[in-house]
Amino acid sequence: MNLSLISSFLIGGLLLLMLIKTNVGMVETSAESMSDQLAKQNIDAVADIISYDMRKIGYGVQNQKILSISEDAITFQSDLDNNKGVKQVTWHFDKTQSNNATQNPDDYILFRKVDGVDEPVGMGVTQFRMIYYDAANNETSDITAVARIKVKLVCQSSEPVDGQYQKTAWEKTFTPLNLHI
Amino acid sequence: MVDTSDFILLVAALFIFAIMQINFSGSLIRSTQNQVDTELNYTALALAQDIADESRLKAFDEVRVGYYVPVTSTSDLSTLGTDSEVYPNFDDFDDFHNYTRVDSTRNGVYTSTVTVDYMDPTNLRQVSVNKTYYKRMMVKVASEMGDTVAVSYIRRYY
Repeated sequence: MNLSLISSFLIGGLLLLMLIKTNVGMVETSAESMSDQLAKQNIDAVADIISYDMRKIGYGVQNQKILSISEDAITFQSDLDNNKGVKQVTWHFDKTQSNNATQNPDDYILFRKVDGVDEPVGMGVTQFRMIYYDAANNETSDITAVARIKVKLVCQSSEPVDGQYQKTAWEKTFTPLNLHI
Repeated sequence: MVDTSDFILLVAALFIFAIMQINFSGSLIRSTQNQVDTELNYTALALAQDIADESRLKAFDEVRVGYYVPVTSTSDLSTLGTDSEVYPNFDDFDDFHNYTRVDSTRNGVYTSTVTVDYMDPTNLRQVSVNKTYYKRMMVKVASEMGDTVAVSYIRRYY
Protein backbone atom coordinates (compact mmCIF):
# COMPACT_ATOMS: atom_id res chain seq x y z
CA MET A 1 0.00 0.00 0.00
CA ASN A 2 1.57 3.30 -1.03
CA LEU A 3 1.79 6.46 1.03
CA SER A 4 -0.73 8.43 -1.06
CA LEU A 5 -3.41 5.79 -0.46
CA ILE A 6 -2.75 5.77 3.29
CA SER A 7 -2.83 9.57 3.51
CA SER A 8 -6.05 9.63 1.44
CA PHE A 9 -7.67 7.19 3.86
CA LEU A 10 -6.49 9.21 6.83
CA ILE A 11 -7.76 12.51 5.49
CA GLY A 12 -10.97 10.93 4.20
CA GLY A 13 -11.56 9.32 7.60
CA LEU A 14 -10.89 12.61 9.35
CA LEU A 15 -13.38 14.41 7.12
CA LEU A 16 -15.94 11.66 7.66
CA LEU A 17 -15.55 11.93 11.43
CA MET A 18 -15.97 15.71 11.28
CA LEU A 19 -19.05 15.26 9.13
CA ILE A 20 -20.55 12.74 11.56
CA LYS A 21 -19.79 15.03 14.52
CA THR A 22 -21.41 17.96 12.72
CA ASN A 23 -24.45 15.87 11.97
CA VAL A 24 -24.77 14.68 15.57
CA GLY A 25 -24.37 18.28 16.77
CA MET A 26 -27.09 19.40 14.40
CA VAL A 27 -29.50 16.72 15.61
CA GLU A 28 -28.79 17.52 19.28
CA THR A 29 -29.20 21.26 18.76
CA SER A 30 -32.40 20.70 16.86
CA ALA A 31 -33.82 18.48 19.63
CA GLU A 32 -32.67 20.96 22.30
CA SER A 33 -34.23 23.83 20.42
CA MET A 34 -37.51 21.95 20.03
CA SER A 35 -37.51 20.99 23.70
CA ASP A 36 -36.76 24.58 24.74
CA GLN A 37 -39.57 25.81 22.51
CA LEU A 38 -41.99 23.36 24.13
CA ALA A 39 -40.93 24.48 27.62
CA LYS A 40 -41.52 28.10 26.55
CA GLN A 41 -44.92 27.25 25.12
CA ASN A 42 -45.79 25.51 28.39
CA ILE A 43 -44.79 28.46 30.54
CA ASP A 44 -46.61 30.83 28.22
CA ALA A 45 -49.81 28.80 28.54
CA VAL A 46 -49.57 28.63 32.34
CA ALA A 47 -48.71 32.34 32.55
CA ASP A 48 -51.76 33.20 30.46
CA ILE A 49 -54.12 31.32 32.78
CA ILE A 50 -52.50 32.77 35.92
CA SER A 51 -52.64 36.30 34.49
CA TYR A 52 -56.30 35.87 33.56
CA ASP A 53 -57.18 34.98 37.15
CA MET A 54 -54.83 37.25 39.08
CA ARG A 55 -55.94 40.43 37.34
CA LYS A 56 -59.53 39.69 38.35
CA ILE A 57 -58.96 39.05 42.05
CA GLY A 58 -61.80 40.65 43.98
CA TYR A 59 -63.80 41.71 40.90
CA GLY A 60 -67.48 42.01 41.83
CA VAL A 61 -66.78 41.02 45.44
CA GLN A 62 -68.13 43.18 48.24
CA ASN A 63 -66.74 41.32 51.23
CA GLN A 64 -63.37 39.64 51.71
CA LYS A 65 -61.57 39.35 48.38
CA ILE A 66 -58.61 37.18 49.35
CA LEU A 67 -59.46 34.25 51.62
CA SER A 68 -56.06 32.67 52.24
CA ILE A 69 -52.48 32.99 51.13
CA SER A 70 -49.27 31.05 51.41
CA GLU A 71 -46.08 30.69 49.42
CA ASP A 72 -47.53 28.02 47.15
CA ALA A 73 -51.28 28.65 47.36
CA ILE A 74 -53.82 31.43 47.18
CA THR A 75 -57.60 31.39 47.49
CA PHE A 76 -59.61 34.38 46.40
CA GLN A 77 -63.08 35.37 45.21
CA SER A 78 -63.90 36.91 41.88
CA ASP A 79 -66.65 37.27 39.33
CA LEU A 80 -64.38 35.58 36.80
CA ASP A 81 -66.87 35.41 33.95
CA ASN A 82 -68.42 38.84 34.56
CA ASN A 83 -71.88 37.32 35.03
CA LYS A 84 -72.50 38.44 38.62
CA GLY A 85 -71.57 34.97 39.83
CA VAL A 86 -68.75 35.25 42.34
CA LYS A 87 -66.52 32.19 42.28
CA GLN A 88 -63.96 30.94 44.72
CA VAL A 89 -60.65 30.31 42.99
CA THR A 90 -57.65 28.51 44.43
CA TRP A 91 -54.19 28.15 42.92
CA HIS A 92 -52.14 25.50 44.63
CA PHE A 93 -48.80 23.97 43.74
CA ASP A 94 -48.82 20.48 45.17
CA LYS A 95 -45.27 19.15 45.52
CA THR A 96 -46.60 15.81 46.71
CA GLN A 97 -48.21 15.13 43.35
CA SER A 98 -45.58 14.37 40.77
CA ASN A 99 -46.63 14.71 37.16
CA ASN A 100 -46.62 11.10 35.96
CA ALA A 101 -47.42 12.09 32.40
CA THR A 102 -43.82 13.19 31.81
CA GLN A 103 -40.39 11.64 32.23
CA ASN A 104 -39.24 14.64 34.24
CA PRO A 105 -38.99 13.69 37.94
CA ASP A 106 -39.01 17.34 39.05
CA ASP A 107 -42.30 18.56 37.64
CA TYR A 108 -45.43 18.62 39.76
CA ILE A 109 -49.09 19.38 39.27
CA LEU A 110 -50.25 22.95 39.66
CA PHE A 111 -53.93 23.01 40.62
CA ARG A 112 -56.46 25.64 39.68
CA LYS A 113 -59.62 25.00 41.62
CA VAL A 114 -62.77 26.94 40.70
CA ASP A 115 -65.73 26.50 43.07
CA GLY A 116 -64.31 23.20 44.28
CA VAL A 117 -63.67 21.77 40.82
CA ASP A 118 -60.02 20.87 40.31
CA GLU A 119 -58.38 21.78 37.03
CA PRO A 120 -54.88 20.29 37.10
CA VAL A 121 -52.31 22.23 35.11
CA GLY A 122 -49.46 19.90 34.15
CA MET A 123 -47.23 21.74 31.70
CA GLY A 124 -43.93 20.75 33.35
CA VAL A 125 -44.15 23.17 36.26
CA THR A 126 -41.15 22.62 38.56
CA GLN A 127 -41.39 25.75 40.70
CA PHE A 128 -44.31 27.98 41.62
CA ARG A 129 -43.99 30.59 44.31
CA MET A 130 -45.98 33.63 45.32
CA ILE A 131 -44.82 36.61 47.33
CA TYR A 132 -47.34 39.13 48.67
CA TYR A 133 -46.75 42.86 49.09
CA ASP A 134 -48.75 45.56 50.83
CA ALA A 135 -49.39 49.06 49.48
CA ALA A 136 -46.03 50.23 50.81
CA ASN A 137 -44.33 47.43 48.85
CA ASN A 138 -43.33 45.47 51.94
CA GLU A 139 -43.80 41.72 52.07
CA THR A 140 -46.93 40.79 53.97
CA SER A 141 -48.84 37.71 55.09
CA ASP A 142 -51.93 39.70 56.10
CA ILE A 143 -54.70 38.87 53.61
CA THR A 144 -56.40 42.22 54.15
CA ALA A 145 -53.21 44.13 53.36
CA VAL A 146 -52.24 42.42 50.10
CA ALA A 147 -51.92 44.93 47.28
CA ARG A 148 -49.52 43.18 44.90
CA ILE A 149 -48.72 39.56 44.19
CA LYS A 150 -45.48 38.41 42.66
CA VAL A 151 -45.70 35.05 40.93
CA LYS A 152 -42.53 33.13 40.11
CA LEU A 153 -42.81 30.21 37.79
CA VAL A 154 -40.30 27.74 36.34
CA CYS A 155 -41.19 25.12 33.75
CA GLN A 156 -39.05 22.35 32.35
CA SER A 157 -39.36 20.22 29.27
CA SER A 158 -41.08 16.89 29.69
CA GLU A 159 -38.29 14.85 28.11
CA PRO A 160 -34.55 15.22 28.46
CA VAL A 161 -32.12 16.00 25.67
CA ASP A 162 -28.71 14.55 26.35
CA GLY A 163 -29.75 14.03 29.98
CA GLN A 164 -30.73 17.68 30.45
CA TYR A 165 -34.20 19.16 30.82
CA GLN A 166 -34.71 22.55 29.18
CA LYS A 167 -35.72 25.15 31.72
CA THR A 168 -37.56 28.42 31.32
CA ALA A 169 -38.59 30.95 33.95
CA TRP A 170 -41.22 33.70 34.21
CA GLU A 171 -42.16 36.10 36.93
CA LYS A 172 -44.65 38.89 37.17
CA THR A 173 -45.98 41.20 39.84
CA PHE A 174 -49.73 41.64 39.60
CA THR A 175 -51.45 44.73 40.90
CA PRO A 176 -55.13 43.70 40.89
CA LEU A 177 -57.27 46.78 40.43
CA ASN A 178 -60.04 45.51 42.73
CA LEU A 179 -57.75 45.15 45.75
CA HIS A 180 -57.38 48.93 45.70
CA ILE A 181 -61.06 49.83 45.65
CA MET B 1 3.40 9.92 -3.88
CA VAL B 2 1.10 12.89 -3.60
CA ASP B 3 1.92 15.41 -6.30
CA THR B 4 1.47 19.17 -6.02
CA SER B 5 -1.93 19.29 -7.80
CA ASP B 6 -3.39 16.68 -5.42
CA PHE B 7 -2.08 18.66 -2.49
CA ILE B 8 -3.67 21.87 -3.76
CA LEU B 9 -7.00 20.06 -4.28
CA LEU B 10 -6.77 18.66 -0.77
CA VAL B 11 -6.09 22.05 0.75
CA ALA B 12 -8.97 23.54 -1.25
CA ALA B 13 -11.32 20.77 -0.06
CA LEU B 14 -10.28 21.28 3.54
CA PHE B 15 -10.73 25.02 3.16
CA ILE B 16 -14.25 24.60 1.78
CA PHE B 17 -15.11 22.16 4.54
CA ALA B 18 -13.72 24.51 7.18
CA ILE B 19 -15.85 27.37 5.82
CA MET B 20 -18.93 25.14 5.94
CA GLN B 21 -18.08 24.11 9.48
CA ILE B 22 -17.65 27.74 10.60
CA ASN B 23 -20.99 28.71 9.04
CA PHE B 24 -22.69 25.76 10.64
CA SER B 25 -21.21 26.51 14.07
CA GLY B 26 -22.31 30.13 13.62
CA SER B 27 -25.87 28.94 12.99
CA LEU B 28 -25.83 26.83 16.14
CA ILE B 29 -24.53 29.76 18.21
CA ARG B 30 -27.18 32.08 16.73
CA SER B 31 -29.86 29.52 17.52
CA THR B 32 -28.73 29.34 21.16
CA GLN B 33 -28.46 33.13 21.28
CA ASN B 34 -32.05 33.41 20.04
CA GLN B 35 -33.23 31.02 22.75
CA VAL B 36 -31.49 33.10 25.42
CA ASP B 37 -32.80 36.38 23.94
CA THR B 38 -36.36 35.06 23.92
CA GLU B 39 -36.07 34.05 27.56
CA LEU B 40 -34.60 37.42 28.57
CA ASN B 41 -37.13 39.41 26.57
CA TYR B 42 -40.00 37.43 28.02
CA THR B 43 -39.01 38.41 31.55
CA ALA B 44 -38.27 41.99 30.48
CA LEU B 45 -41.72 42.28 28.95
CA ALA B 46 -43.35 41.04 32.18
CA LEU B 47 -41.38 43.61 34.21
CA ALA B 48 -42.39 46.42 31.87
CA GLN B 49 -46.00 45.32 32.07
CA ASP B 50 -45.78 45.32 35.90
CA ILE B 51 -45.02 49.04 35.93
CA ALA B 52 -47.68 49.84 33.32
CA ASP B 53 -50.25 47.84 35.33
CA GLU B 54 -49.32 49.66 38.51
CA SER B 55 -49.64 53.06 36.86
CA ARG B 56 -53.20 52.28 35.79
CA LEU B 57 -54.30 52.49 39.42
CA LYS B 58 -53.13 56.06 39.75
CA ALA B 59 -55.01 59.24 38.96
CA PHE B 60 -54.46 60.76 35.54
CA ASP B 61 -52.96 63.88 37.01
CA GLU B 62 -52.01 65.44 40.33
CA VAL B 63 -55.03 67.77 40.11
CA ARG B 64 -57.32 64.72 40.16
CA VAL B 65 -55.80 63.16 43.27
CA GLY B 66 -58.07 62.61 46.27
CA TYR B 67 -60.92 64.91 45.35
CA TYR B 68 -62.79 65.94 42.26
CA VAL B 69 -61.59 69.08 40.61
CA PRO B 70 -62.99 69.65 37.14
CA VAL B 71 -60.25 70.26 34.62
CA THR B 72 -61.56 72.82 32.17
CA SER B 73 -58.35 73.43 30.29
CA THR B 74 -55.12 71.54 29.66
CA SER B 75 -53.30 74.37 31.43
CA ASP B 76 -54.89 73.08 34.66
CA LEU B 77 -52.80 69.91 34.34
CA SER B 78 -49.57 69.56 36.25
CA THR B 79 -46.06 69.34 34.88
CA LEU B 80 -44.68 65.85 34.34
CA GLY B 81 -42.78 64.18 37.12
CA THR B 82 -43.12 63.45 40.77
CA ASP B 83 -44.72 66.05 43.03
CA SER B 84 -42.39 65.26 45.93
CA GLU B 85 -43.84 61.74 46.27
CA VAL B 86 -41.49 58.80 46.47
CA TYR B 87 -42.23 55.35 45.09
CA PRO B 88 -44.35 53.38 46.13
CA ASN B 89 -46.38 56.42 47.18
CA PHE B 90 -46.84 57.80 43.69
CA ASP B 91 -50.38 59.09 43.41
CA ASP B 92 -50.68 60.05 39.79
CA PHE B 93 -49.69 58.65 36.42
CA ASP B 94 -46.89 61.02 35.58
CA ASP B 95 -45.15 60.57 38.93
CA PHE B 96 -43.50 57.66 37.16
CA HIS B 97 -41.69 60.08 34.85
CA ASN B 98 -37.92 59.42 35.15
CA TYR B 99 -38.57 56.61 37.61
CA THR B 100 -35.87 53.92 37.55
CA ARG B 101 -36.08 50.49 39.09
CA VAL B 102 -33.62 47.60 39.32
CA ASP B 103 -35.08 44.09 39.55
CA SER B 104 -33.13 40.93 40.29
CA THR B 105 -34.72 37.94 38.62
CA ARG B 106 -33.79 34.38 37.92
CA ASN B 107 -32.65 35.54 34.50
CA GLY B 108 -30.40 38.29 35.85
CA VAL B 109 -30.66 41.94 36.78
CA TYR B 110 -32.93 44.23 34.77
CA THR B 111 -33.02 48.00 34.85
CA SER B 112 -36.34 49.64 34.04
CA THR B 113 -36.54 53.28 33.08
CA VAL B 114 -39.83 55.10 32.70
CA THR B 115 -40.63 58.27 30.84
CA VAL B 116 -44.02 59.95 30.59
CA ASP B 117 -44.88 62.45 27.88
CA TYR B 118 -47.89 64.43 26.79
CA MET B 119 -49.00 63.22 23.37
CA ASP B 120 -50.41 65.08 20.41
CA PRO B 121 -54.16 64.18 20.33
CA THR B 122 -54.22 64.37 16.53
CA ASN B 123 -51.29 61.97 16.24
CA LEU B 124 -50.76 59.76 19.25
CA ARG B 125 -47.33 58.71 17.99
CA GLN B 126 -46.15 62.30 18.33
CA VAL B 127 -44.92 63.71 21.61
CA SER B 128 -46.44 67.10 22.37
CA VAL B 129 -44.48 69.93 23.94
CA ASN B 130 -47.76 71.30 25.26
CA LYS B 131 -50.00 69.77 27.90
CA THR B 132 -52.77 67.63 26.43
CA TYR B 133 -55.38 65.19 27.69
CA TYR B 134 -53.22 62.27 26.58
CA LYS B 135 -50.18 60.94 28.40
CA ARG B 136 -47.91 58.16 27.22
CA MET B 137 -45.82 56.02 29.52
CA MET B 138 -42.77 54.43 27.91
CA VAL B 139 -41.14 51.70 29.95
CA LYS B 140 -37.72 50.55 28.75
CA VAL B 141 -36.30 47.46 30.39
CA ALA B 142 -32.64 46.63 29.79
CA SER B 143 -31.16 43.25 30.61
CA GLU B 144 -27.58 42.69 31.70
CA MET B 145 -26.85 41.56 28.16
CA GLY B 146 -27.72 45.05 26.96
CA ASP B 147 -30.93 44.08 25.17
CA THR B 148 -33.77 46.52 25.69
CA VAL B 149 -37.49 45.90 25.54
CA ALA B 150 -39.90 48.84 25.45
CA VAL B 151 -43.59 48.90 26.30
CA SER B 152 -45.74 51.98 25.86
CA TYR B 153 -49.11 52.73 27.37
CA ILE B 154 -51.26 55.70 26.47
CA ARG B 155 -53.74 57.06 28.94
CA ARG B 156 -56.33 59.75 28.36
CA TYR B 157 -57.99 62.09 30.79
CA TYR B 158 -61.61 61.22 29.94
